[in-house]
Amino acid sequence: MAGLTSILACLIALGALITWDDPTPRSGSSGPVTVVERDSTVIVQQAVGSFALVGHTLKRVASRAEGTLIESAASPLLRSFRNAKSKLIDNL
Amino acid sequence: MTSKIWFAVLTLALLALAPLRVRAQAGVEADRAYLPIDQVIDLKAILPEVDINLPRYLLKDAVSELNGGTNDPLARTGINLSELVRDVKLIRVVVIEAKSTNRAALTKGMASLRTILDSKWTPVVSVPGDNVGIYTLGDAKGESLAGLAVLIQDTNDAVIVNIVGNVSLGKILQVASSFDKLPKDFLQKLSKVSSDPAPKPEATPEKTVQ
Repeated sequence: MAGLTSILACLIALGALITWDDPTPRSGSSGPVTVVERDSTVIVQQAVGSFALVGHTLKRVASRAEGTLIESAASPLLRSFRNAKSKLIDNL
Repeated sequence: MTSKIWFAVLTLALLALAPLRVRAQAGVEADRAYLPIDQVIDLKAILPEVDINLPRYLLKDAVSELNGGTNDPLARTGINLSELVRDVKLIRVVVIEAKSTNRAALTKGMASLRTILDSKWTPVVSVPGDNVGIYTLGDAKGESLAGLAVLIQDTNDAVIVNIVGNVSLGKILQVASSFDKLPKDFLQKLSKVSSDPAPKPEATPEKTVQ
């Protein structure tokens, strides 16, 4: 009986070690921009947009401007992300 | 006696697999500045509107030619993207539209992230009334930035940003200020940069056969 318990414990321990989350950073995305995300043009656009989003938020919060933050500061950038695919196609 | 043998086997198995565990965590997810967004919000159940996930190897490749040179469409804006992302390991932006179906889970997930940030990170600016928080994490020496996180939640959207690595806040603000200066044909120019072949070496005159 003790042997069986030990086997089970061993299997559970092995399972816990083997089924950790995949450490590879996910380059895909589940959002609408998935299709073109690997294109370096879009990567640059997303990187610049991400920094701009943070920068706008920092500026807005720091200055405590009127209006909701997402609506006033980040909304245009979020829209551009959402429309990334169609924008890319339109511009190329 | 039998149980002692089994315990010894178990111990040996654990010791043998320990290096694998260490290797598995050696990526960006093991970084102190990595925000476990996927662990606290089930992004397979709550599909985000935007899910940007740019690890270093993608960034490095994409910005390799954007160094302020003549071919860089960002040159006139004063943004040197190569320099900006030089020490960045990951850029992650998640935007989730809050709906009646996901609002409870989303609020719970955002609260979990806020708890993590409040306990280990330094809040730079926060507006609790608007559910806005901007946090930074210093490196081990406390001399440079190791990570940046932004949480915003209102009735319509939740925005989560996590930048792992060292990035200049001043230069991020500069990007925001210069964003409207981006050329209208920015995407076309970017596309040209990425598709232009490397300059060929000067052709040597061919010898004429007499």
